[in-house]
Amino acid sequence: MKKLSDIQIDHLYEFTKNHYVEWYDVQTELVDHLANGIENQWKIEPDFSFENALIKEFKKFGVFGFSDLIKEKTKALNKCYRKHVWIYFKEFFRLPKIIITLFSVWMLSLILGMLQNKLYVTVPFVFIIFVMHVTYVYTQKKQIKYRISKNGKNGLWIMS
Amino acid sequence: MKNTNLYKGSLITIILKLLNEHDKMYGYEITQKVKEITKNELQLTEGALYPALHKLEAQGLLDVEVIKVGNRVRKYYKLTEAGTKETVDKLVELENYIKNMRALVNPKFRLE
Repeated sequence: MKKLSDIQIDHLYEFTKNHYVEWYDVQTELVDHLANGIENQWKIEPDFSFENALIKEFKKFGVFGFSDLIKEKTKALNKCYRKHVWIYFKEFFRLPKIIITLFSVWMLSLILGMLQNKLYVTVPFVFIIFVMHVTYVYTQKKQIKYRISKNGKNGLWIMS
Repeated sequence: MKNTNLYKGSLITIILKLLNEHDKMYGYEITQKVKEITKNELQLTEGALYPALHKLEAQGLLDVEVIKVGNRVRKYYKLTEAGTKETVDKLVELENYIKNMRALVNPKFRLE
């Protein structure tokens, strides 16, 4: 049976990337799906060109292409991230971290209580937190960009 | 999918039932299996299948296994313990639905 070459597999990865699928696991899943579809077409028509077989297979995803899939995956990932953030948040209210939480609240209320103009503390405090947050997001984005440019993949995978 | 509106609500049940019968399956295999069982009557659209699979995975009903096959990587889905329980519930739900629909569409003739 006629099989897809390595170059054609790479072309399918590029195809999914060009259709805004940025996660490597979803790209891989779609590449395998498209490859299976194309190879099945070749069983009936071995001379059918790769490009035309790909167009035919992609049409099966409907008029919106991969967009529903991307939407659902984004939703699923956001749900997963929220769950993790919630787990980390809860940790601050359990031993041993609750000691740090309570101590921080006590310290802050003590400092605020000593000052007449509380804005001297609150404004720089909020500003520092904001800057830290922006810096973190910026460096993370830079790291993801670097990883993609280095190996063309966004995400890690463990294979069995 | 053929007769989209009628089948739409049963997509999750179809996936869970198939995975319950097979140890593990990949996306393309699911579409082909459905076609084979229904003799081409029902065709799962890829645009509906994968979002449903990803949703079930996020809900913890499906587990994923990745295996290298030839020159590409294949993502297999299998039921988790919660997924197996959910399959039973979904099938009962579907049976009840079929029973009620049959009663509505084809009510028994009564002489009262």
